[in-house]
Amino acid sequence: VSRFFVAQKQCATTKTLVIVGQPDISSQQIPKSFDMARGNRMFVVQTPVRRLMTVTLWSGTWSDHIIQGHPEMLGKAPMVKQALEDPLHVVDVNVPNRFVFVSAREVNHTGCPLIVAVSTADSSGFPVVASAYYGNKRYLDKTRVSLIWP
Amino acid sequence: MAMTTLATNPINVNYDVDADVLYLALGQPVPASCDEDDEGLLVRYAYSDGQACGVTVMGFRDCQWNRNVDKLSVRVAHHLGIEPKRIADALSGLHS
Repeated sequence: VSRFFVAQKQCATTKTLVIVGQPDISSQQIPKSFDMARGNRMFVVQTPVRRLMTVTLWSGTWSDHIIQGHPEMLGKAPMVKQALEDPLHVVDVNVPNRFVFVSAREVNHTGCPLIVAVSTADSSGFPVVASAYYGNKRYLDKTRVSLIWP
Repeated sequence: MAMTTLATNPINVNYDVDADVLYLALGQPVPASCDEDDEGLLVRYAYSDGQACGVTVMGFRDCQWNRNVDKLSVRVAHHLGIEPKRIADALSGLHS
């Protein structure tokens, strides 16, 4: 059975909207929308990486930690979302259960790319944005990193 | 003068328990870009003057840094040009 739908449809039983041409995520559970410690979901985004199909950014993670620790990320949430949806590539890093998405479009004033670190070890069981920052330019060179996608 | 500033700035500690990310900064965090060292620590260099201004530790627990705070303190202090004790003291509440 193809994992891809050829037409847009509303799944009546799950109330899940399936988008034309996108991988079927209707069978996946979506994390709850509110968490006492982490606030609301800012977004749940579909990535092109099969084992990281959906990634969640919690408002508490963003406002209490990422923005506080990396203030250059202020106002960059849309770029973080874009980096997850349409990365240049996804890289394995030297930290257990972490991968980084390298933005295809967003760089800072010195040409360093936006990097979005994703954790697969979250207590929710779903991949989450762990942090975001402007990283080394070597991330733009796929011959100098350990690619997991494409 | 810059070293004087570094020496007197308090260490700003922000630990995201859920994401397991530890943010350390000399004074208030400032906009910066990051570069990884060979242990996976993200060293932050301020946009304003290019000086090391902080270190972000991905996987503080997962990488067992919480059990090796002394080693982490030495590495972070080396990057920031300060005494390891200052880092160790700032991290004293995160050992468990």
